[in-house]
Amino acid sequence: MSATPTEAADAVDAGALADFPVGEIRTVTVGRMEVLVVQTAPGEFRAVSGVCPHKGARLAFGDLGGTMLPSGQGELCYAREHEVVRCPWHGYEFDLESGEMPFSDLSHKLRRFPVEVVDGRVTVARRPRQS
Amino acid sequence: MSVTQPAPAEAPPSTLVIDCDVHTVPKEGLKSILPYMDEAWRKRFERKRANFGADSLPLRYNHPNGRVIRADSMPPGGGPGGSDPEFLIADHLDARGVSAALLNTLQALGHSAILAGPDESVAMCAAFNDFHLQEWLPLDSRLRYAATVPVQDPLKAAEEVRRMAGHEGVAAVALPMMNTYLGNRWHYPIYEAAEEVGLPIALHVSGADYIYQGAPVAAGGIAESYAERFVTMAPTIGMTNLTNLVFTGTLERFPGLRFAFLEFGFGWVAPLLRRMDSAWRELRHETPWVTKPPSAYVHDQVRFTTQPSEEVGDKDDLVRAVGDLGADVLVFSSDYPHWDNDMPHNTLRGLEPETRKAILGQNAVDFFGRTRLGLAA
Repeated sequence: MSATPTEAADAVDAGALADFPVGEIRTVTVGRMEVLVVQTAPGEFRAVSGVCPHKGARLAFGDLGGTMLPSGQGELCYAREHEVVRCPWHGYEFDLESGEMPFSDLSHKLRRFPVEVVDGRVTVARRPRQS
Repeated sequence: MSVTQPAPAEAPPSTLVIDCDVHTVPKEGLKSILPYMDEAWRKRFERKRANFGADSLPLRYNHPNGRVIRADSMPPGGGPGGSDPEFLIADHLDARGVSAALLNTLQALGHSAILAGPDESVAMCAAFNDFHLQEWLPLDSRLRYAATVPVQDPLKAAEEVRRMAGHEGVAAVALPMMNTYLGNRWHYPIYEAAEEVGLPIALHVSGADYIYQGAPVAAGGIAESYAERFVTMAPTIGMTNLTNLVFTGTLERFPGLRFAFLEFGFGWVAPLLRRMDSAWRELRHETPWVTKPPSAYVHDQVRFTTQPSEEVGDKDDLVRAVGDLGADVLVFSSDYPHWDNDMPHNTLRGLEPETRKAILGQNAVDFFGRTRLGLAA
């Protein structure tokens, strides 16, 4: 893919802001990696590595939504709408903000990438966050 | 030597032995417990010519060798094995070096679960329990008792839990299984009472399983022989009920409640825990009241007896099986006087001494408590 006007050496152009409706998964290739880019709320973006660390499924085919918080017996408490991606294979959930599996005993974690909106374009950093 | 003498004593065990599954049976059947009922209930059962015994089994499930009770456990004064407390004390506790034995009675379990009607079972459970309190426990402090409660009437069962908790020698609540899983809220009054008084729930197949409507039903079909039922019944009932206890959130809701699976075996447990943990990681949002991996609940609140321990050809297989599960959840049981019993001296050989010591005794002490087991502080 050729560089767009907004693409810099340290970032990749993911597309026009208008192409990122809130609550929908979009993808961009960073190096050789597919990265999920999601506008979780107006003006709030998350970008995470798009391969499930469990068995290698493409998270782009997963569901985006929220999750159930730990609750009392027979009660449901839904939260984190648009902040959780669920793997299409085994259903592992990943929080887009932390990259971690919420309320799990597993340490699987998605890599998180800085996202910016510059001049109406969504850009994703080539280097993931370090923590 | 006369064959009616107790077993010769073996070399004293070098470690504490707590036997978590020893079976008693009233010597004269129902007649033995009638004195522990009031007149109206005695009349009720006498008019029915009620009794109980192995004749309630369908032919296909009669033992191929004719009896489930060891021939060498028959008391010299007559009656089935497990019916004479003094002989049981000599033949098992003394001979095998058992420091405490948890007594439970299959006849009580079966009648509580389904064989008796709900009201009949209330009267029978109380009578079974008082019979043991009067005729067994005073004879030897090593005899401890799992008091059967009438599960068909959970409020009455809760009353019986509280009544029994006040008696020295009662170390557990024997809760028979119905065709309603243990995590079903039907059982919650019983669990509230057991948690309140600090008595663990002891689970054991009742004999009515896989036979009568109302008892746990067979998984996938009808076993054709004693052997088939023997192999599959307890593990499948154990698997389904343990899974249900976890995913319904029952263990979460009653964090002080503890369950002992007696005679369900243990070879199936480790694979089940892995499967439950996997399902929880994948589908946690369906049962968000399960707030930690299922295996963690089991290690915290559930124990399994060693008998019937699968025979293994290589001791390393046993070491792997126990290591795979975790020795912390295992407690020793013999199942005396039944045919497939395990004795402490020839059970778990090949394990590291400290592991074997924990399973033979200390784990049960930690689970039931020294006081409830009648052990010195």
